[in-house]
Amino acid sequence: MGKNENEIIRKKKKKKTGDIIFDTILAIILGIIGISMLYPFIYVLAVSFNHPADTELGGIWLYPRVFSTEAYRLIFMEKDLFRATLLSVSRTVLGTFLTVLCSSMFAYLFTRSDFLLYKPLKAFFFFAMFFGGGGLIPTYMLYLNLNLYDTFWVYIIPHIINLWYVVLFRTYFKSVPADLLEAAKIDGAHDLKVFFKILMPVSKPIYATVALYSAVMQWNSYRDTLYYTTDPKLRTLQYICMQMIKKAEGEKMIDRATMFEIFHGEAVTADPLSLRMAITVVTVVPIICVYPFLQKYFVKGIMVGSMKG
Amino acid sequence: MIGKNHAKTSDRTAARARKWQIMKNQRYLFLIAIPCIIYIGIFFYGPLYGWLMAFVRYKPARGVFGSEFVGLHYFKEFFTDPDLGKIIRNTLAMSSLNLLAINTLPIILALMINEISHKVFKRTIQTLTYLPHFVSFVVVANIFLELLGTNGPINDLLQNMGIVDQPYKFWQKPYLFWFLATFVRVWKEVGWGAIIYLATLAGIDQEQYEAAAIDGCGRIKRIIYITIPNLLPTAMILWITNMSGLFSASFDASYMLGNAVTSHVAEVIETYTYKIGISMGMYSYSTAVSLIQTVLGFILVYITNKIAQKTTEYSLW
Repeated sequence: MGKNENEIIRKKKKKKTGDIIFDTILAIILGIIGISMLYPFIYVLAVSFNHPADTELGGIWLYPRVFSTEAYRLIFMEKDLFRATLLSVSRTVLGTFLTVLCSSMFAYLFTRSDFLLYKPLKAFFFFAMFFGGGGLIPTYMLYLNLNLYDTFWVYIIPHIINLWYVVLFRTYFKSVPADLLEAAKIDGAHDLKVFFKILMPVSKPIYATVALYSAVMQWNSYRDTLYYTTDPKLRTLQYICMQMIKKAEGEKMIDRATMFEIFHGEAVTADPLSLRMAITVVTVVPIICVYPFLQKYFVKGIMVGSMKG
Repeated sequence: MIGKNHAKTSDRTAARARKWQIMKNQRYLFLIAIPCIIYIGIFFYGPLYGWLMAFVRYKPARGVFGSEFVGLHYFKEFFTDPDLGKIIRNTLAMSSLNLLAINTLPIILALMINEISHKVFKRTIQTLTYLPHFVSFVVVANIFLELLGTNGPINDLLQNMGIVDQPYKFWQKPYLFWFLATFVRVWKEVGWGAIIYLATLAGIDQEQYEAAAIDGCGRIKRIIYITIPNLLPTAMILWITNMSGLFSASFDASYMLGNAVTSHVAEVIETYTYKIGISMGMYSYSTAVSLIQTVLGFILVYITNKIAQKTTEYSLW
């Protein structure tokens, strides 16, 4: 038996040369892909930590030439940017909380086939999913009529129930053993109690997944600011970032003038590129911070979503 | 006769009483359902009413029904719009390039990742390729506008290698725009797209591979004859769903990456509806254009689904 095992091990060790070549080529290609995914972020970091006056000379590509946190100091001094950050944080926190809570409660109804409204509700839901919502202007008009236009609530209320998240929640809830919920009901717990005390705690992975999706969507959104607001006080971090790019793009000559305008005429002796990259870092850092914690959940989540059919 | 009738009524009352009892037991479910129904009614069914704006000369002060009915006037206007050909061309070009890439490259990436046996390397590659999905398009656009910009590292490299004398203005070349936009979008989404295929690959029965190995199949052969056929159902479903995006979903790339020089190749239906609708206030016209876009999207998904049904056994419904 020992001989047999040894033979197997030897066979495994003796890889074919073809396999080695195959593996090497694969490793090289994937290595290049990996670097191409990582490098842009390194570049942004390098430029943002370079002294803004020095960035102008160009030629930064891997590490800051003259290390300085001047760019960050400049952007944090700016009142508009501070407000934008606060706004982005509050819409992310409040929006995610409400979306997760309301979407999951709605999904709970779809796990209760004994519910009197189950069938009509299902039809109502699927019709909304396929045909609901509208083009830009119908939506715009709706928000205008609801007095959501140009208020903070336009970032929150339209996202409270997301039909796609409802499907994700429902699929997960369905996989929870029914006995668990039945037992609680026999003990006299009412439906809401069953939901909050039993279903919610056992469904943590899907809550984590949807919270991640929702938070990322809220944090990254700039189009709702563009479409549904005009008030400068409602500008989010992403929107300001977008605005700076739009203005800086095209002729690089106007860069300095634009920055001058954005920073209210304060004399900026800095290359705007460093500032822009510093803002970029500020918008990316929160995502990179939550990413590793939630990575283990989102793969599960995407699988749950794909099994809906 | 009278007795029978009496029994019937009492039956009915009993049934009503039972129903009432169920409703009472389910009162908390109703408590959840009613606000949800109102909410969905407003936010998902409400905009449907807004589509009517496409058929009237909409005046905000008069409302949809108070405005003058013009029938298909705005649809005709769109089809005689001198920009029409250009916009449709750009939309189709950008979307089909994107679809082509996003329907194939994630599969290739997943196949490659699946072949790695080194655990840490595999995890690193996965983590790195998923990450850009979570970063906003604003940030991604900002990075690539600079990376490929005139003072960016790519141009430095090209100049140092002596390939170009003057910085090459990547973003000012209309003929490059569609490809660069596609590249940026693929960079952002390829890893995310691969997740689902990787999960499918993990579910393939290992016995198939062992049997093939015994029969003397090499790795490439095993990929072609076992892995790819196993991926096909997932791929088909995703391709059909992705088709709905053919007329939309290019807003970010077009709006963020386009500029004055490339605007004639960057303008797509979505940026156009934004421009005429919100910037210029032509509500009815913009609504009509959106409506055409939505209807075309539906038709496309329907047709693709039909074709998929006919040619393979997989379909969406």
